[in-house]
Amino acid sequence: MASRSAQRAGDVAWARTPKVNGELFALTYGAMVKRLVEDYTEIDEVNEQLEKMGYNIGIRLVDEFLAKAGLPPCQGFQETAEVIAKVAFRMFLGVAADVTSWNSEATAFSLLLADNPLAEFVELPRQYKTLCYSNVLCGVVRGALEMIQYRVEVTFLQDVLRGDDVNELRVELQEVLSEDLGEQYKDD
Amino acid sequence: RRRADMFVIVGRSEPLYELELSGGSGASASGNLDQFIIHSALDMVDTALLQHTSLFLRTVDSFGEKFVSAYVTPSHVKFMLLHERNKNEDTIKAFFQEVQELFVKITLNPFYTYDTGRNPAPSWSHPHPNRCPNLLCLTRPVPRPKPN
Repeated sequence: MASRSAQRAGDVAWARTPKVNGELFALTYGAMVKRLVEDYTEIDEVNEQLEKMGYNIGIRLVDEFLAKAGLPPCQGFQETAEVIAKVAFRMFLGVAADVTSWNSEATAFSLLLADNPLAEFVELPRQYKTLCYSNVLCGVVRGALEMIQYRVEVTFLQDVLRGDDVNELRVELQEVLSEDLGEQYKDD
Repeated sequence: RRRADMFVIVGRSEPLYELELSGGSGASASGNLDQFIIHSALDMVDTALLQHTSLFLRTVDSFGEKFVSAYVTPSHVKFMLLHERNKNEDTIKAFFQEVQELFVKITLNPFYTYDTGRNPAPSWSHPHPNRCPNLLCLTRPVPRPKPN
């Protein structure tokens, strides 16, 4: 099954990547989020900043991923989704995600994360209820997909920190961008 | 049966957490006395620190029939328990060690401002039975909400 070979590729990629201490990673991210929350007055702005940071990470991360993972090009959006969930998430976060809830046109899906290493010790205070603590992940997925010509919108549908059972990221395809060399190279 | 009266966590400059374990009668005079006993035992904790090499300092002070046991974390946060005569120090030590594990978890929360009593996360204001099993074996706790 395509998904099982993606899973195996994910495990292999995870075994090969250099590791960093999980606690250090979680604490660094937590310190950064805390700083953002103190600097911006509105929680929505914090969410937006986290997403923008993720976007900047994603556009660079995708090249690293494609170089290290050594997978053949994906045949379509569905295969792309499987690879993101099983290989990329496993390689960079250490946990694989599940792809579910495809819509009827196969242009939107959900990524389910059972546990989120970013939010390992976190408990959200009551006044930050609307904070999407791991919004950076949404930005990373959006940035990475944009580099491979898919323009998507990614939102956090469910968050364990806000009381839900799983973390669910909803990825919706907006547009498939076409390879464009730019005005000066167009044949007249 | 009530065997412990009060539990306080003291940071470097102020108490971080206070829990009164007296059974409901709530006489305010005796409540203040418990706090006074624990705070006056703080000096004894510092003396005991110089003598002991371990984190558990056993009983550092006594006042009449009440004893104060202390446990100091490596970062000098003091856990102090006011209790009646208890021959079995291991239960107290085990309790302190469990509290330390919970305390470390709370400290790792990025939204907790270190070394203050202000913990905005909801789960710290009441001793949840699942999180403090040893507390239950010492006594039945009557939680007092901590002002934020």
